[in-house]
Amino acid sequence: MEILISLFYLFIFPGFLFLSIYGTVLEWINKKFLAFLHRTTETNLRQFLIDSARIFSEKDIVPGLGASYLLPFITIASAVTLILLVPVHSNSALSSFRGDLIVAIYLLALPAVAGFVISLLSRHSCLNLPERLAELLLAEVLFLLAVMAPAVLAGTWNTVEISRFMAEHPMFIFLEIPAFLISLIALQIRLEKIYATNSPGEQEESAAIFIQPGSFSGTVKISLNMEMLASAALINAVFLGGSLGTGGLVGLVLFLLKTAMVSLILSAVNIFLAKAMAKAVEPVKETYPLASEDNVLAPGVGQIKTTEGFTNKINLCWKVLFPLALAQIILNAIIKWKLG
Amino acid sequence: MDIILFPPISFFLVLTFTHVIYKIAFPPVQAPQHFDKETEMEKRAGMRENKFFVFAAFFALFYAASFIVATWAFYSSARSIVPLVAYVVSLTVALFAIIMD
Repeated sequence: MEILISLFYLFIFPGFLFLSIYGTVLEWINKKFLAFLHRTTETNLRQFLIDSARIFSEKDIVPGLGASYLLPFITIASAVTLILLVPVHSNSALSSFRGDLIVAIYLLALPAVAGFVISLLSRHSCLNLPERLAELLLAEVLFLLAVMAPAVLAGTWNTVEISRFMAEHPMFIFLEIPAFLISLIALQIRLEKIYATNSPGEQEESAAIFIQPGSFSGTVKISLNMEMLASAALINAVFLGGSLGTGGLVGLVLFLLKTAMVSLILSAVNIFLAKAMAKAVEPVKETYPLASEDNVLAPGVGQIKTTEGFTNKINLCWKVLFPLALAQIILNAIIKWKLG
Repeated sequence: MDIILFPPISFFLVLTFTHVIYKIAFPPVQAPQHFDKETEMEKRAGMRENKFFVFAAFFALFYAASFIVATWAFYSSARSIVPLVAYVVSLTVALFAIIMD
């Protein structure tokens, strides 16, 4: 019986099924948000869900995928494992232990690192691997620093304990806003990197795989939605106090609302990053980062990033965000020292 | 903590489950030939970048290993080496699957 309950957690709620369905709903909410910003019309939720499911009925006509074939499954497995470490509708997680925040960060990084290694193994060699690796490291360091700030304040590496601390001290939620925004920017860079490609041959291939409706592109889309939702859940727990001490239905509603809010802010961050790079990278698409039929997966797909664009991103991260994250940690350390 | 909900086990279970279900539901399709073409520029870049592979592979493995070690350093109550072995095995299986695909 216990095994059945565990399997329910893993594959139904809050695992695979919940992440895939709610992740798709979040994608629709983001599309609505962007449609509102661009003053265009968007389909209703029911039609959107039907269209999302219909992709799987299309037959895949794609080139040999090689190792890239495994990437969506690694992303899905990471997202489901991550959600088990995060408090969802209560102030406890299904799998919690000391230092689980480090495992959560590792799980978040795994798809992007796997994508990088798979890209190396593909028959199309990448033209700017050092740049891609640098961006990965950049996102990694920034995210670690951002998440370290509330961990220092709470004095623990346990996600649940940090979440409880933030719920008990709500004024710290406002104090952590800079670290919260930095973590979202780092997360956005990382989400872009999962399916990003570099070489012209790979771009042609990726465009065929990701844009053309089919079961594989559907799986890719779902995996990205799930990864985004799991990341939003972690950020909600670490920066926004999770369920804020509530539980049951109220906790679940809070979780849904707060992850939707994080997802919308993530979408806004994407627009901000696209605008920041607009002078250097042409063409820039002001679109939601997740997969869709009319949207190339990530800004990296379908375009070669110029060295200038890369330098702009490096400058933004190292010269602005990195010192800001460090300042936040120092401030938190001082507050922690004062509080005793 | 339930063994199924233990991170390496749940990761491996979900990876295997989704992979198997996908293979059953959507059998792979033969690739069109024109995608196999490799440009001269890519060939040259490949020769240059192949040296980078060793570093990248090392980076990926070192990255994973350092996180595992750091986690177990924090998680002092984990006295058994079994969870670490489980983690390494799941990582090895994932890497093996990537390389052999």
